[in-house]
Amino acid sequence: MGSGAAGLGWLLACALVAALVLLPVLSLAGHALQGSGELWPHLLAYVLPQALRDSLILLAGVGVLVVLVGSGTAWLVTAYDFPGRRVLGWVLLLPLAVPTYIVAFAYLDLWHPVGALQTGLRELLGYSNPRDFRLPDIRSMWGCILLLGFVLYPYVYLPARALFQMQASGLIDASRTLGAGPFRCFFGIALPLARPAIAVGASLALMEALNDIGAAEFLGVRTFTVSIYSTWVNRSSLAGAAQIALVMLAVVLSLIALERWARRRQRYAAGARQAARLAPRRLSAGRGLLATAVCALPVLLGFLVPAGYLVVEAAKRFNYAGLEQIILRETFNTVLISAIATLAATALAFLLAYTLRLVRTPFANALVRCASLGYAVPGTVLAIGLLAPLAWFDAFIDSASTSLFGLSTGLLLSGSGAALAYAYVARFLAVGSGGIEAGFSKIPHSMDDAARSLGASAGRVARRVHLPLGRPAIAAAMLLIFVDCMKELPATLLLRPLNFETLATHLYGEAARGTYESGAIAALLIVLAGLLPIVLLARVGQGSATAPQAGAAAALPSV
Amino acid sequence: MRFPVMKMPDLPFSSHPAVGVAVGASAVAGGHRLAADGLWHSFGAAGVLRDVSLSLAPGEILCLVGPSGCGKSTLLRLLAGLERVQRGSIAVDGEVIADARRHVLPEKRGIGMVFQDFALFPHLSLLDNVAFGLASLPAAQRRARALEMLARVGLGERAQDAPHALSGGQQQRVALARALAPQPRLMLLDEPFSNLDVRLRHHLRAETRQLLKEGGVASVMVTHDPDEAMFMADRIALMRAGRILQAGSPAELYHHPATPFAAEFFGEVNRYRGKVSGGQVATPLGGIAAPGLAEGAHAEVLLRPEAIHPVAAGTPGAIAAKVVEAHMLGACSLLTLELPDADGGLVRWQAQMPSAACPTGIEQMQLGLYPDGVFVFPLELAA
Repeated sequence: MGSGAAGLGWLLACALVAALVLLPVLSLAGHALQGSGELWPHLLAYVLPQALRDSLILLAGVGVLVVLVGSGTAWLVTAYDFPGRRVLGWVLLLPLAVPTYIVAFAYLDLWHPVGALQTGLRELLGYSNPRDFRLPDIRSMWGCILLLGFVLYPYVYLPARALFQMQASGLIDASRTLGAGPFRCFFGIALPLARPAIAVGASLALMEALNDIGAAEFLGVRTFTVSIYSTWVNRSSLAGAAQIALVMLAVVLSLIALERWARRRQRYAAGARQAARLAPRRLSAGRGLLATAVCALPVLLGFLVPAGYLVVEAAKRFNYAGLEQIILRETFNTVLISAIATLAATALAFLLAYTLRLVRTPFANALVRCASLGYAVPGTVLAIGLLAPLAWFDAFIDSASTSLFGLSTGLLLSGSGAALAYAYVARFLAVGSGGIEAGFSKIPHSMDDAARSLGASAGRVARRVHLPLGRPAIAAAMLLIFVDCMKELPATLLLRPLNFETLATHLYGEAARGTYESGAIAALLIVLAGLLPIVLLARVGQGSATAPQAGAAAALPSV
Repeated sequence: MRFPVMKMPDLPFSSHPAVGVAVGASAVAGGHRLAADGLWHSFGAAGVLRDVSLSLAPGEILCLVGPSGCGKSTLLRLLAGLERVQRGSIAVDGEVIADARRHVLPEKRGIGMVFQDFALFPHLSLLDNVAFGLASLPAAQRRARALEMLARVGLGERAQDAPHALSGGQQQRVALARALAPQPRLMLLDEPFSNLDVRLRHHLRAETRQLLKEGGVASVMVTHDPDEAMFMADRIALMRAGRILQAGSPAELYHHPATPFAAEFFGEVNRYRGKVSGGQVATPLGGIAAPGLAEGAHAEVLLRPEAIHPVAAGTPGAIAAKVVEAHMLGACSLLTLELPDADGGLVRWQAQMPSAACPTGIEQMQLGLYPDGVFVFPLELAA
């Protein structure tokens, strides 16, 4: 049958995509194994123990915090009625718009001993000298845990709320008719049911924490990412960086394994039928205000304070220097490279999602999952893994071109930003394919069959049926990929061409130098872009498991 | 069959220690009564319930029927306490449990509920599901009671299984056992059979009715299926657009519908329009008495297919009709008849009669009419 041959072509294309995504990881393994053996004892003695310890403490702390804040606020806004509940329901998502390096950037300046916060506090308390009164230094492990926790908790909040609202509500109704009070409803029914969703969300948050470069570095926490980066940048040792990266990858894999284990019995959660929304329980005035305060605190810490700071600082800078040329150029760079990567990633994501639909076999599924693995690979690891193949490729093309045409192409990929786009596509492909897959799942398979029986080829069905019907999901996927690219820092730092600055790298540079002022405008622009998908998320439906979430969840590779 | 019921004086919802004897509904001692009075409810601008009142005697099974969106499920959720009362009141045994100001929480009401999707807790075994509502009992008694309830619905062997391992019918039984286990004061059932296939449904509704009657607990069941309502109910309340149109025994609703809607809801009807003349409406099957209708008023006559029956030739008042189509359905046959109208036209009516009365190939038939299957309404009611 024709569909068999066509399916083969689609599968081959997917295999190629998967190979390109996996290339950095394989190259990394190769490099680490053949790498200079003399470095290993040094890494093992001085670098790895601290990287491992710091990373694990950070992950544990952030994990506990995001689960507590995320599921706690999700339960409050779902099950209780209190002042501001509706607004809080969606503003609790806002910290998603603030990348971890920006929140650290903002708080470093705010919390500085002579910064606005501590100066104000001293005045209030009547101290004149910073030496007499000083808050604990934020540049510490606990500072890093708190900051990351309060921007990353929405990863738990969103799926937990969706589950509480949709799937668990019928069961909670049932448990109430059986005499269960609020305590039993939450701990006996809602929490066990939400466990898989919370596990997914928490693992996403932890991936972000592991992936973070700015916050950890600024706050003096030597995570894997920071160690890899400094091994490469300061010691110029690719083998050493590759070796740490490989260990980090092992940590990521165990994180994924842990997440799989935590949601090992997920099937039943998905089986519950969608019931009426949970009718929230009215709280008394005092308790209601307490609930309002509890839900407002994460928004305040994770969004309002840093965003407010950025607005004030950006306004100052704007009044002082206007819109500098350099910001415009960086914005242009950022948008251009992100747009290119978005288009490529979306096209490939469509290919993956459609192939999975066309060829419904475990093999196709495995192939698509492999191609989605990039999302789990931290940006630094991906970049380190790409460095060697890119250098080899550029050198190969250059020498071939020189010998054939007597024309040097120089660093074709690395120098042009193509390498950066490649890294973006590899990393965010899963965001797109997950979202598009979720969108396709609403198109009944009978439609494909009908179109095929009317004589349309697989390609034509994709073009005429799935492209138009999947448009909302595709558009949402594009938006998400675009914003993710704009915010990306670790891979950008390592792979950008010489003298090519994006908003994120500019901000990083300013923060590294301790000159915060002119970074504020760049940071504000990134946060504003980050708000777009959140507005979409809030509009798509209060509580429904939305495309980004589905995308992110689907992005977790099946191990 | 009678099930022995253990004496459980300290069951959470049981306010009457003597409930442990299985008895028929009519003889329930100390059963509970429910009264809902003047309930109005709306979601946003949309009115869902308009002035609904109902009462339930001890041990009685009331079925709320009506097309989807008529407000019956909302009414059930109000009774359970899952929705707050906006206007009107709900009382159990004369004590108000919900009105515009008061809202006894669902977990404090002692009202059991079986949900449409059964709502079994997927992470708990059957035993733990059924034991869930028995939290106030010591562990040993809780277990014993849960096992007893599971045994009563024939699933005692599967106490440790997870809900998803069960078939739909078994899940329904567990849901019923779970709701009954704490001996609720009242039971609410929200379309409990709608997720099951037809054969199973017939079987389970008999079983469910028996269990409810044995427990002697007054129950309100929501369904959109008129057959199910007539089978299950002691009394039926027919709802439409947020109001109770008519309430009464199944026979009353079937034989004395108050509106054309009620007549049509519970069975097929042939419709005929005419004017009242001499206290009667003339139809192709003779004059039908139209009591209470003014002379000359427009009326609509509804005739149930089974009210039309064959008579021997020569019977006074018999009317000849042409058999256009005949379908043998087993014991009954469904016929399409053609009858001459008063205006000289022809009308086609459906008739249902024992197959023995209409041999195959029959072309002509003498017909009579049973009066209890014929209803006359003023035409404006029909609109």
